[in-house]
Amino acid sequence: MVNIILVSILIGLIYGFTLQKCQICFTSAFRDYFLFKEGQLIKALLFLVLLQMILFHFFASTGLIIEFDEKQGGILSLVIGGLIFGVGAIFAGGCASGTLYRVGEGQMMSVFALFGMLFGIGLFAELYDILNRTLIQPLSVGNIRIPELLNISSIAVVTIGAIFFLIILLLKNIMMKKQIE
Amino acid sequence: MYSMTHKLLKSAWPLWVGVIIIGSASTLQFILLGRPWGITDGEVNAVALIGSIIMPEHILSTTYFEAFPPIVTYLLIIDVMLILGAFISAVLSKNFKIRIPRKKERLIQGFAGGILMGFGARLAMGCNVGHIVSGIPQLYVASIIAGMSMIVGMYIGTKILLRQVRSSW
Repeated sequence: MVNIILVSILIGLIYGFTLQKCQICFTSAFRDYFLFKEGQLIKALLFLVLLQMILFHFFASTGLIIEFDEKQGGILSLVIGGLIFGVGAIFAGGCASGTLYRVGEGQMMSVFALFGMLFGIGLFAELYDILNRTLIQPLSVGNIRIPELLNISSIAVVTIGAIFFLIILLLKNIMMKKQIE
Repeated sequence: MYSMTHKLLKSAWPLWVGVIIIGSASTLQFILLGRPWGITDGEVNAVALIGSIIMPEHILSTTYFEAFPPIVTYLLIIDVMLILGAFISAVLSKNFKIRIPRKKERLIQGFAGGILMGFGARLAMGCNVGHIVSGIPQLYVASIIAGMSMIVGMYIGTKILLRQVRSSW
């Protein structure tokens, strides 16, 4: 119990310290790309996804990661929820993690955004029963992963994914070089 | 030695260093606590906690809070410590400052955006961290759908904001 608390405190501090130091935020990454075609942060985030993919599967194969998380929902809720979240994050000037580190920096707009988030969560909880019936339960995407969906091994998917991500990263570099030339 | 710690704590870090630290920390969290990084799950517990001070009976009778009772979970501790970690980092690099936007409407815009984020993240069953940083690496179909939708949403949001800025000029 004490260990869980200590580990949580330490890991939380590491997240916050690093996010602030490197100014890592999904919303600024995509906003800067859409507005100025500035893709440095997106590349870093792509690299983060790739790194996590390899680390998670490596430690799952050694047995240190015992069980994968649960990610599911109805197609409608995933798409509509995702769209609403994306629009909101641009308005709030930061994603879920970006808003938290900006609160730590003293940005009042993000403090308001955080209060808004808590309010929005409360609103969702109030409407949960009806949303569950209409958007979450129908057309449900169960707790299913790409390897089970396509019936191929995780290693194959991770390898293909890694190659795919590397191609994107390289293509971006080439395109940027061409622009400079 | 002094100048090294000085540099580490006070100056900005290269992006790739940050990405490797975040990725390692999230993997460590997955191994030690059984779940990778996520933001809004802990915030639901925070809402339940705040709500149970104001209207305890109502919180107890709300179905959604059965899964997120008014208790302090480790995910909530991580959220709070994230803010504290960012605060320490900002103070050390002399970046901390209470910044109030010159236009007060920006605060309302932030609050409104926050409502959409909180609501959207719960409807999609995860925020950008839960789905893109943690879910897509685990190759979950739901996370790929939600993650792509978030990016499209950010595109739409940027267009709306751009139109607003242009019309106000």
